[in-house]
Amino acid sequence: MVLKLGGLTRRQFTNLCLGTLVMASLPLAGVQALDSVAREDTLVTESPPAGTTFTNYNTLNPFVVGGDPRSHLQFVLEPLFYWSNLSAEHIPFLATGYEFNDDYTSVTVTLREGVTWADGEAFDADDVVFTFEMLRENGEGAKDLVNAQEVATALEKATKVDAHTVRFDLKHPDPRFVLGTLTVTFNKGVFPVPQHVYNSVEDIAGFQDNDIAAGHPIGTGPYQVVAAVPERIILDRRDDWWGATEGVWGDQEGANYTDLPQPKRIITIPRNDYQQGAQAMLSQQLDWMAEAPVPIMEPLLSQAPFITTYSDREPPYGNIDWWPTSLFFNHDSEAVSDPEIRRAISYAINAEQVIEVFHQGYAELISSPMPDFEALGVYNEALEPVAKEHELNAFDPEKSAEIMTGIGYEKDGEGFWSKDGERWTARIFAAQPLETQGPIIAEQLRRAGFDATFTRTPDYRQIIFSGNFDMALWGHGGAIYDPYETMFLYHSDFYRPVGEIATRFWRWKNERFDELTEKVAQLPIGDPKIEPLVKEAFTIWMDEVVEVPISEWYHRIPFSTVYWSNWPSVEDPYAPPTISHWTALLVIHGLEKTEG
Amino acid sequence: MLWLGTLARRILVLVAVVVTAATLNFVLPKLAPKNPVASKLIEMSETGASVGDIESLLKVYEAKFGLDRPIVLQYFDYLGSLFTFDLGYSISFYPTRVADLILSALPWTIGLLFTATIIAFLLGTLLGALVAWEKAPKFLQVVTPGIMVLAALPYYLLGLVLIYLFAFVWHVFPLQGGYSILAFPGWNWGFVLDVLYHSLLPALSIVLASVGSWALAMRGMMVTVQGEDYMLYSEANGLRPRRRFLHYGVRNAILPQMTALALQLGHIAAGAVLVERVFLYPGVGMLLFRAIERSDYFVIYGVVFIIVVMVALSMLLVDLLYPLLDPRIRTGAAA
Repeated sequence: MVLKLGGLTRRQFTNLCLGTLVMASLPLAGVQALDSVAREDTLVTESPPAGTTFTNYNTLNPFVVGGDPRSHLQFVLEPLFYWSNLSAEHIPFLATGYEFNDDYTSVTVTLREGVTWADGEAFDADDVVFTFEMLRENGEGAKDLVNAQEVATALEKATKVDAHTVRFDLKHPDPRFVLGTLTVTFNKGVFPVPQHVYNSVEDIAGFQDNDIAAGHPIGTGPYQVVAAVPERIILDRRDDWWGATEGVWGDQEGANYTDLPQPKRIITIPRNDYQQGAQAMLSQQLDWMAEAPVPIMEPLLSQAPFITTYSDREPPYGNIDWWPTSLFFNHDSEAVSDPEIRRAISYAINAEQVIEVFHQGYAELISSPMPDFEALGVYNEALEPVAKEHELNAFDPEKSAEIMTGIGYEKDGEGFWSKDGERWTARIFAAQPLETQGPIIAEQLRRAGFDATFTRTPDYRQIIFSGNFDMALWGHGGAIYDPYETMFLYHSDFYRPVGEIATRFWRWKNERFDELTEKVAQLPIGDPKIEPLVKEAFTIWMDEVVEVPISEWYHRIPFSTVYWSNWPSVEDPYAPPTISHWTALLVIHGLEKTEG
Repeated sequence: MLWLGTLARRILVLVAVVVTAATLNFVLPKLAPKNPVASKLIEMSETGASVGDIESLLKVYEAKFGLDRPIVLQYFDYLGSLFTFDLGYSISFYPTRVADLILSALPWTIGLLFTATIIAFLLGTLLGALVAWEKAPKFLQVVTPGIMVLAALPYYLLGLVLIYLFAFVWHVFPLQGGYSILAFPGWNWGFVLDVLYHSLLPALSIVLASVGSWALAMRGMMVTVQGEDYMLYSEANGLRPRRRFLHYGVRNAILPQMTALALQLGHIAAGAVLVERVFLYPGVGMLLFRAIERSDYFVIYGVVFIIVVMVALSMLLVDLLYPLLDPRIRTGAAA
């Protein structure tokens, strides 16, 4: 008896196997063909989220958990306002202005006339009211959308006054509502979405808005997503962008964002390892790299005269970020709950050495947890004498030892601090970008007698945020235009017991600090009454040694000038030069095509 | 009828293997202390995104993913999802469905690994058979041991060496990726050639590292087969060496190779995880690597389940194919 498989001969069976193999490769045929665009008209960028593939390539709804506008939506959607932090400029975009009532419980926003969505529908008050009401309702109910809880905390109701006027009634006086919620800066703020698309969607938290063939996602911005696969997202310029219409910009006419941007196509690739990005920059395939630390940047600049940075081809090779870094304490950890121990640790840390090793010397010590942005200069200056008085950045191992001895510790046989026969021990964790600082800090502490170990683990986020750590190297991401956002980082509203995930992981509480923060929240930006409140609050912060400040954080971003020029620079800081911030469209508006 | 009984028994074994492996697949990722939803939300807040109170958002999303249910119910949910071939949403790629992620990665892996495995199998088997065959060209005796040395090297290590030499030092091949930065997937010659160009180094690392193992195994079998009476008999009958080599030697020696090939093909769906990682190749191996890194349970379940089913089906296929290759095993023939 000869076995036959379903009546097939051996040859037929082989043919069937080969046919199946060919069929298996057919999903590739599902991608649409793209028009070709010349390289010199194309801007190639490297974008977060980091990894070998985009985790968000299929998610084109800005409010979905998992959606990340940085690689696509920030070129498609536009906000009511932008804040350009390096030039301290508030830029009305889809709005033209706003007016608060006397007690800051209501703000009326005027929308720009002549703005249209990509499908030709007019952008108006209905879209804005829909977006904010949708978020408010979600924040008060299902709570499964990004931005929803923040909007629900602040907003009582958004109401259409007329086609181009919206009134936002607030739950409590909030002079920062426009800058904090209606304005896009860094990775904050709300992008309005089209009511005529979203109002028919039942589950917005699961809505991907990814029907690219049908022209989705629909935005008001000058770019349209034309293709998205895990390894690539491509956007083409819409030449019918509303902003290129004469007369729509009024007084703002002439600013570099009022013309059609010059790149006809944007190709974004996932931000992966530095070597890959550097190689692509050198081979002129990539125009805008996401980030390059000094050890990558210096050889890159020496090999490629066509590469530049925000500070030109000179150190520090970039611009400061809103993420000044510190050694944070877990105030619920027994090891560091005593402020005297924290003070002793502070004296044991040589932040200058960390800067020397980690930033190759190209960063500055900080005297407060606020970045040295232009808008914050007055507050940072006011805090300098307080920091000096508290010897904030002082490295003094002898003083550290004196404090430890004063509170009853003595060194054991191996030279580590012990009390009642028990050695003091602590574990340090770090955010991924600061991982290489961890061993330096741990060694500095060990040399001063603190038995600290640095632990590197893939689940560091969960460990830190659930409070199962003693110390952590991290950054702030608070104040941009005003100290309030940094003060709010330390508000006890964020306190959660160990075991629960806390949005702010340091678990420090201070009633007076809370009161001062709440007072600042009531005052308008720039009010002279803010400065003494800030000074008092950060005096408490320094008295309690809430953390050990280390340094400013720099974004070091290489730009290629082969195809594109006029990148933001110290001389012309027209926009933050960071692709990982939602203001990157402002940079693209400013780029100029080179002569080749 | 006897054949149908054998088939039924084999299918029963297949079901038992799949259910056991699927159960392990459910349990093992859960042993890790990491909460993937919490990590995802914290990562978002880390970039500055306004996620509000993470703890309350965590509860909402754990409920969405069914992770707030008792573990036994989660297990039954999981089995149900396997039966319906719907593993729901990925945690790290939310709200993209697991099936969409696997489907977009599968062509890359099949294209690379199927071709590389078949080339390595054919080359290795032929080389192994020839090395053991006394009438084979002499140069093979010199070349083959060198190739066998490569069998001792893991794919990914060889991959790193190839990247260093061919991409970093000599700039002959690209460093990483499935295609060039300026290319985009589509059915056109430019893209096909670009993909082939990018697949050469990873394929070469797989072929070089595995051809030696295939050759070693085949050589051992050929040596055994050559001592058999039927080989002597075929020679005594004056059959041509080529016929004796292929029809009497290789055909009898190849059976264990086929079993191994079936197992290898079964693993293709998983990709060569480390090779894809080293070359940043956008296949299923890379998807699995990232899913494990982020404890993305549902993607791990999906990819591993496909491997389990593929291996089990490959074994079934081998069981069914053996009789075609070896007349002695044909069901009922002995009777």
